[in-house]
Amino acid sequence: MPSSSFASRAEVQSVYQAHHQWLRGVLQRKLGNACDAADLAHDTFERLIRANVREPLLEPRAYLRTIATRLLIGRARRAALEAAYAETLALQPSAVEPSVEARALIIEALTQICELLDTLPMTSRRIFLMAQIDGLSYAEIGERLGLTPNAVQKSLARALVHCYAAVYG
Amino acid sequence: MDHLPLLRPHAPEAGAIDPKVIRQAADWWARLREDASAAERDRFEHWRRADPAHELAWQRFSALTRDVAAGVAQAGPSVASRTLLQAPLIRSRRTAIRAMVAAVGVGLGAWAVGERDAVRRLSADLRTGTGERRSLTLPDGTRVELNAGSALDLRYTAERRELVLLQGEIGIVTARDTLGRPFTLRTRGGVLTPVGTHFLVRDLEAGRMRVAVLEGAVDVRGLAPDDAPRRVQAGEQAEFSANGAFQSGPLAPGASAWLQGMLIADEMPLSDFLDELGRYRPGLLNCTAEAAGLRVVGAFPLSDTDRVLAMLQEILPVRVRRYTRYWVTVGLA
Repeated sequence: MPSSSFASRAEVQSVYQAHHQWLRGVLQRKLGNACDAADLAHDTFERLIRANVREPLLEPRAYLRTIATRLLIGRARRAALEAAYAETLALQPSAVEPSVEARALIIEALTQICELLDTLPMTSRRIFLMAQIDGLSYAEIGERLGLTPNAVQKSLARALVHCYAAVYG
Repeated sequence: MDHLPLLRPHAPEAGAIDPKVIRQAADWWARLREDASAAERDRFEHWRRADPAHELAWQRFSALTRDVAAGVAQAGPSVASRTLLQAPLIRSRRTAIRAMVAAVGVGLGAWAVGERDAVRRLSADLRTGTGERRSLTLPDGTRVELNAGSALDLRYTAERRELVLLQGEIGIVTARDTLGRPFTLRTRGGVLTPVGTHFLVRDLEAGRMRVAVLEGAVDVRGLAPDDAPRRVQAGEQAEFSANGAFQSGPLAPGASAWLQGMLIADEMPLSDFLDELGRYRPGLLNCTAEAAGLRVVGAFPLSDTDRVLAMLQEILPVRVRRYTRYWVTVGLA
């Protein structure tokens, strides 16, 4: 059996023993809630396990803190999207309530698109959504936003460049 | 929760593209969306063919817009775009959290070296998580089964069909291609060419690979250009690695059991058994040194690893200790 996988486990184990209490403490001070802190600490270590680290971490605490931060930001984003989604659904005339599972997949997908559009100015974001998702013509979009079709086209191109950068760094 | 591979880079191995080319491609994309006059299309085709980077940039934009469309399909476009318009609210809250965490100080120091590899696996075309198995049929009719914790890239072109195993284990039943394109599977340890076959390949890590042939035959070639192929016949398995090592033998019983959702152990040391079982459950699963050498015999269902752990307590003198949800150690009773 793979010996490196054993090494990885040993590494995770030693990181866990040395820093688990500390991480819980940091998170509890931040979140003000022991349960959430314990939960988030668990998820952080689960991520660490999945990362399948092969070599000793040089700065384990910085690494753990960064994973925890990402998880925290992701949760906040997801929670807000979930609320927005529920609101939108409620406003639909003939809303079909999706299953819990379908809902989770939808929120996950929307969260990723939301990340893609992050930091894009509001107008560009609306143009991107109307063009790429609603499928409106430049003339229709321009009419709603008070812009010429040409300006809409240019703005969409800039939004696409932004998205490219978000995916390809 | 794990991320769906929704917005992943297209052909990341091709590297970065000049930002000027990206802007041009985006301009073309926005322009062709509405103006499809023949003259405009000709100019575009001319631009696209002028440089491979142009083609690549165009492909990446195609993939990106396709991924976005796929991402909103389930929610429905109008619900999706309305929901996403609420996003500024999320941003402000997010910023607040960011500020909060920044107060603790987030160190983005030097991380472990495994990271780059992990990113590559996360962006694979096909991927399974811990405990997840997946089967699918490719456009040419080839069937692929991914075992837990596996990652695979697909590179089908007009000339060839190539799969790249990045991690884990796959089973392949090749189909005859109507276009007559050759089929290869690229791995860390060598390149495999099947001859009308059903075979399994597993990345054992540390550069070692194992191929098990159930039907037909597979030719294994090392990564060096002058390496001669070695044939593995049905009923045989072989371990090989990039440094040219090659050792074949009879097919191990139970090698293909995972295809049926089973783990078969025949006098398997407990430590190896738990390593295997660990592929199908999240978290840490290990045993004490005293228990490591115990031998496991039996057939176990992969779908319920908790049950397997309970079974272990019945068939071996061991006790399963759970420290946390993700932390299980098997020791002597």
